[in-house]
Amino acid sequence: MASLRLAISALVVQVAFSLALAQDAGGLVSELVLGNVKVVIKSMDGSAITTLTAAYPKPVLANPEMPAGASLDVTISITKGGEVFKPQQVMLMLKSKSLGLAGYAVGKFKSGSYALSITAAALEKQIGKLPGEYEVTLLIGDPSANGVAYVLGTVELRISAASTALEPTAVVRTAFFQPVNNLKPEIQHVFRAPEKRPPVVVSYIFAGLAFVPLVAVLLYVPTIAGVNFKGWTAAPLYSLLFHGGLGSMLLLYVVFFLRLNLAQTLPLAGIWGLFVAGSGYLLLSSLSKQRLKKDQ
Amino acid sequence: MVLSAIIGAFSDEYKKSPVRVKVLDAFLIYAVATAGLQFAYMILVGTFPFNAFLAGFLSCVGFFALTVCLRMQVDPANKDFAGISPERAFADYCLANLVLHLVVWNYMG
Repeated sequence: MASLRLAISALVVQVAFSLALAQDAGGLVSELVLGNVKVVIKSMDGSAITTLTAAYPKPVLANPEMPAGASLDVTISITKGGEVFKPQQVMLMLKSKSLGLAGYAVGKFKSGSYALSITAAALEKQIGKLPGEYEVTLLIGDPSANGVAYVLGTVELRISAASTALEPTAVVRTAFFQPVNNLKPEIQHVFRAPEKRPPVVVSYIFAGLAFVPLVAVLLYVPTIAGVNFKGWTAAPLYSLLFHGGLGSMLLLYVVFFLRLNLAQTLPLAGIWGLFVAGSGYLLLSSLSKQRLKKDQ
Repeated sequence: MVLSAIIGAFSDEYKKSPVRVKVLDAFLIYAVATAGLQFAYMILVGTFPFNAFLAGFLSCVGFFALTVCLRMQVDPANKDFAGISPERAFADYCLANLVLHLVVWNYMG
């Protein structure tokens, strides 16, 4: 009984959820309607030089000249679903036709419509001194509606002689236009020069010389008066085991140098070292016992 | 004149030292000679590769130090080490040498 109630309530919740989604989905992505598009080029004192009205999506500007100090004003009303709508982004983009650099102006909402205005000075602050032809685009964006990029046309921008702005630097230039004389030099990677090594002959000579003291010792030691191998006869088995063990330990070191790594060698050395230690202990204790017996 | 007298007296006294000590002295000179050779080579051609130079040089120096210790402990004239039997000293010497040479061969690369 309880499980049935649970199932029914889950179903009800699901239906309500999907209904709500469907309602929202109905208005998830819709079209914006642009109306009352008016473009005015105002001179420095505020009087209108050119006034044009447009209907979206037809362009309206046919490259009129913007004298120095003039401003380009655009007013537009935006509606969605019949109601006045305030999108998140309303911008005017002026993109230079020669270099592809763009400056932007943000729209202000006033009494039901957006007003956007841009002057040469404002553009200079963004991209630097760059007179010439500019493509004017109205950008409107909002997550709940399809975005709009309304190309209004082109204007010819004149910069005033008194402007102190710098021309756009190489850093500012976009990848869209890349004049050839602007490319940075290609980096040639220089690998680290190998260390200076001596000629091979010198190394071999010194390697040979390094064996000379060893040979000298091996030749000299038997000539010392009193040198003998009596210790071997005193405890022959242990002597053999111990010296054999030591020799194989050194052989293990050679193999380690040639082939193995330390992680492989240490356990082997440890185990074999125990054997060498044991046989050495037996040998040395028997030798010391004999010595003590002799001393007594 | 005086120098030859000194050298003569030294060699006479030295002949009286036990055989073990003389053998160890020979090995000491061998270690010093090899170390000196490696040092001369390094001076001549530079320190690259430094780890190889250090491994070789310090193996000679370490061997020298261990042999000096053994000589001190084995020499009957040295009363400081009367408590340590020569066999025990030799066992320590063997162990220390094995460890030294393992480290040296590992460092040589």
